[in-house]
Amino acid sequence: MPAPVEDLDRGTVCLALYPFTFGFPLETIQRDAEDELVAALERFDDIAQIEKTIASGSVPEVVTKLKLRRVLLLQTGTDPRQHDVLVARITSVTETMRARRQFYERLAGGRHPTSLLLGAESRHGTSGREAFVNLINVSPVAKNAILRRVGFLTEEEMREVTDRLITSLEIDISHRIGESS
Amino acid sequence: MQYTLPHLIEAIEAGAPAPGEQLFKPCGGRIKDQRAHTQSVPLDGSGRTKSVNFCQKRPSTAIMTKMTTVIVPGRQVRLPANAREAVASHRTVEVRNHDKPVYYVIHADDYAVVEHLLQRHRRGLPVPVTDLLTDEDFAVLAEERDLDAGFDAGILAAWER
Repeated sequence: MPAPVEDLDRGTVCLALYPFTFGFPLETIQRDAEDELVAALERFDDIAQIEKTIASGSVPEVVTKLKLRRVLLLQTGTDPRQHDVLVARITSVTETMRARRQFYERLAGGRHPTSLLLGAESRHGTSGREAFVNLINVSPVAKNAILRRVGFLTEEEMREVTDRLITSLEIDISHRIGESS
Repeated sequence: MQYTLPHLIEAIEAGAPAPGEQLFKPCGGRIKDQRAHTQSVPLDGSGRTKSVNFCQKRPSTAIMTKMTTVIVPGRQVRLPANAREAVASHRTVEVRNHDKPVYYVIHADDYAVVEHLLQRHRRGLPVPVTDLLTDEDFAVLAEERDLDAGFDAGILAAWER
């Protein structure tokens, strides 16, 4: 059962099937009929190669990977009429990452421009482990691919998220700064 | 003060009028309040003009405050000798308070390299995000793109709750 929609508030930490970004080489699925279970895979090494084979209006099936991982909901997903919700992925901090001193010091000091450290609170849903929200690559996921809610961020923490989203998405807020004075 | 359009755009983008000037901004097709007026604006040096409605734009106090550099005489700043040497050799000095960085002291030439980024950031204008990331950041992004190495233990703990 997917997570109930009433659980999908902005700032919720969830487990969700998160698609890997696909690129090349890419495999497409070739079927004789739409419901044909037995299919062949065709490999393409670059976009120029696949462009030659795609007919206008066709929707090719491609092989991609999904992984169950933690995500942070950046939008309110409680309206059942909305099928997808925008999320940022949450990644555990590894020893390799800690060894990257410049990265880790900015992250731990709350000064990283696009990532926010989590894990200090049990409500972060990281099982007490250090993790970070990566706000440089945000993506929609289908709400029925969200398994369950495991934590949440406070309004104050979500303001930190907002600051980093403005930076990572290169959003122009100059007119709002003028209005607020 | 009469602005040409390029001058007006430049002034608006700068976020503040020049000293002693009053800044107006175009307010679209209709005049909204009594302070607004219609003005014939020279398009360029050819003598062509365009009629534009203007309303008064209050200079943003927040922007003005943030954009103002506070100048302190060097004799009022006490830096340890090793810090002065470091800055002189273009190294960054991090000033910490309770183990947390509170100030960074950098060479004036180095400040010139990042000044435009700071100005855009303070005005709320976009800065290319890649200009803010270090080589280590890109390495971490490449690592975390494909997997979450510490996730499996975490997910088991989450399910057990």
